[in-house]
Amino acid sequence: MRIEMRRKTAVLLLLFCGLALSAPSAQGTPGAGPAETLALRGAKVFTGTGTVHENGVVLIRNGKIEAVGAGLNIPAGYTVKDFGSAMIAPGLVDPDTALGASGSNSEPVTAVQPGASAEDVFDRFHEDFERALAAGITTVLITPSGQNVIGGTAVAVKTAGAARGERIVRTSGPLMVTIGPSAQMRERIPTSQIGAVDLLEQTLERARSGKERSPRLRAFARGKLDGFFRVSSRIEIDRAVAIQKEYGLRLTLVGVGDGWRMMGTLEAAGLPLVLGGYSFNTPDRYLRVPARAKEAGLKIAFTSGAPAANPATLRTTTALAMRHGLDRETALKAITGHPAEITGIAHRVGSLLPGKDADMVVFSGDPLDLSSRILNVYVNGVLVLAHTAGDQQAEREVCR
Amino acid sequence: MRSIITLETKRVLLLCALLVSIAPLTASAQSRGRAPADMVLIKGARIITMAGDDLEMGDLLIRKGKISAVAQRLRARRGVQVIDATGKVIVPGFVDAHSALLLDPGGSSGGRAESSVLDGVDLFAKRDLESALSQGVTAVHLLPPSVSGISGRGAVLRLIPDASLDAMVLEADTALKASIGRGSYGRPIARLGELKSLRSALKKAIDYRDALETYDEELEEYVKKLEERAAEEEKEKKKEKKKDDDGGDQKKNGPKDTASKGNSKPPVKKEAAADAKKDDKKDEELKKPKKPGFDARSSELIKALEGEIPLFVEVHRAADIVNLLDLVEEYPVKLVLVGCTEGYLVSDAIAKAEATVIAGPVVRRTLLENSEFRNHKPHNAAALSAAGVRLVLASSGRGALETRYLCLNAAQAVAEGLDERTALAAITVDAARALGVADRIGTLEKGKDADLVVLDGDPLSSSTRVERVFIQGKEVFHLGR
Repeated sequence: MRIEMRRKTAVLLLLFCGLALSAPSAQGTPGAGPAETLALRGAKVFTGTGTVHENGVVLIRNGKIEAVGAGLNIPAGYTVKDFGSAMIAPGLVDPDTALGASGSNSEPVTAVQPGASAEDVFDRFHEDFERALAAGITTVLITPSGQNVIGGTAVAVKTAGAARGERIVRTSGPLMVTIGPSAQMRERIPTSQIGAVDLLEQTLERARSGKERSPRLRAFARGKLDGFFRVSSRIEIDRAVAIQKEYGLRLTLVGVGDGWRMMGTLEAAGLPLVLGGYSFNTPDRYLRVPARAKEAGLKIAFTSGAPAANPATLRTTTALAMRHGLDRETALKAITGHPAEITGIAHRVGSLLPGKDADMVVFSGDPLDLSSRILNVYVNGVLVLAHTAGDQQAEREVCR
Repeated sequence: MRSIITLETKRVLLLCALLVSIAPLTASAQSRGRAPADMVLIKGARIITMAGDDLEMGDLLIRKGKISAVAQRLRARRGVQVIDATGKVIVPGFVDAHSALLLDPGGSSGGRAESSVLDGVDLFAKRDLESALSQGVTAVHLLPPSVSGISGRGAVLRLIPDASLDAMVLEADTALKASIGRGSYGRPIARLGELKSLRSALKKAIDYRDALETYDEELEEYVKKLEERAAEEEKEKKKEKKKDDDGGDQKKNGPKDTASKGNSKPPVKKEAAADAKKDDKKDEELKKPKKPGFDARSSELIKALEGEIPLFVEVHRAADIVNLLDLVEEYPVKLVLVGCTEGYLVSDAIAKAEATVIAGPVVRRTLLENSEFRNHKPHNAAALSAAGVRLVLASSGRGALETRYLCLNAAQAVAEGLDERTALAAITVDAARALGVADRIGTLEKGKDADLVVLDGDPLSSSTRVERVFIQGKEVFHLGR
């Protein structure tokens, strides 16, 4: 592979005469530092917005995407990397993880914790991030767990990068809301489903009337801060949808276990869904939900369920949804553009469009086929993972 | 089990009734010299035969449940059902060489060597079966649960919906299952203990076989001696009779006595002492040999040692694998390694021992499992294949529904460097070979059972959907119906 790439680089050298002379040396030292200007070429470039550029080129300047298109002219001075038959997709985005969270990411003594932030448990050196990168995931939302009715805010972070500030994409992410059994405890209120709903409604009522001190809660109750509502059973879905309507909340439904028998309710509510992670052992009725939700016009995003599940589950989940009728275009959006939009970070990640962060994954084939291998991962235009080509051992090295 | 029998009986009765009612119909159809009902022609598909080259635009004819022809162009006789499969792909039905479908998920308690997995099949898990069919899996190899030691015999089932167990069994007694390491995680001594108990079980089986052979020989000898003695006695009787006749009135009931008591001595004569000595010796020799007590486990292991049934050992750690290969060198059985998580560390040794490997999931759902899987690497299958090991890819007999996505599992192996064709073979023809059923399933060739799948795209692609599934020529799944 590397030899082949070198040969292609040589061809390019002829084409661009002396302009690309720096290419081989740059290739030898991946991740040495953010390249000022970089051009990637692949058999296909998926923008994550539904567009596919055959023989696509991505131009990168200072870690941001400058231009994307089919057969773009590469200006002088750019480091060129031609991936031949490989394909380039946006870095994958997982909108519901506890990746890189150090310790428990909830404080279950008090059930309403609007001030808590997952940012405070984000350990940027955590080994989880290497696994996420190996699965092509470049941005994750670290969410507070569902042990509280109001669990605090999530944080969106990149899976690679040295500086903490550089890693964080959004600090006060969506506010986590739960009314299900995981938020009910014997030692404190709520201890029951009825108590959980009551506590949530009282809290929202106070926030709406300005009696609630937390500015986050006030913003949430007025539909100015987005929220992730973790739901599983039918009654949870039903209550979440009713409360959303009553207060005009900006909500995404996460999990949605019983969604397969609530499609009418979900369609009427029109809220975005975070689904997955599915495994080979997940029953068919769940695997059909993504295709049905798409039919119903709902925006869907997938999650791997990492770190409890292998981050590679993200692509498996997508493949399983496709095996049950989800189209390719929506499937790719569900792990790139949609989760970025749902988590409010689409201005930076989730698509390969000018001005966005240069987070990209190079696949040996179609990104959605599980037979495609992840060859390279770029974050902010920097090569952070390179598959050491040509050996059966498929050892991966993480370049930092 | 009882409920299955009653169900079966009902079904048989129903079938009889049905047969009687349609008998006249069948007769008339036959009299016209055509049997279109059991002939299906699938036309215009890319046929991946798994036996030689693919056919780009091929036709496949099914007759009486078997593949009767695969060729570039076949002409349909009148009345034959024709299916236009232009742009479709036909592959042999996928075979899961280690599945937990239809097995009770709670069934982790120990089996015994003489038990068969067929006794644990739950035919009422119909939804699971249909779910597996809808992803193109037509046959599964069920193995007894992975408990320490020898846990019983496996069987291959066809996934025919609403059929009796008998109708589903493609082959019984396909494997003798054993397991090393699963019960002793974190305890190295227990691990060695498991290996040792397998070794002593094999040794005991050989001793048992020897004892049985010795017994057979002794028995033969004994019977021969008995016959000899009977003949001798007959002779003596005759002689005595003659003597009696000669001696006139000297009558005795001696012969009768001898027959009834056996030990009674002949009438005292002048050589009496010597005779008695001889008789004692004769009696001692004629002691009936004692048959060794029946040993069920050893009987099963003898079959394995004589190559009648392969030994399938679930084993994950490299050290266990190497120890097992050594053991097999000592006790030659046909060895199949199941799971083989750390196989990539000792792939050359496995290749040298010519053991087949049935590898489990390529990508594990969770990363932190018990230590049997702690060194799991996705490239295991690819590395084993590269070392020349005969490779089969299976769902690993854990969750029942995992059986469904054999092809996605194979796709994941391809991403890790496994050759695409090898990956496909590992869930079709090579799986059938490892299970000893390749004479019937696994390829699309003339004479093989018509167990096949019609797909709308590449078998390993995520977006491919299974459109139709045939088992023994009968359509058992049709997408959207």
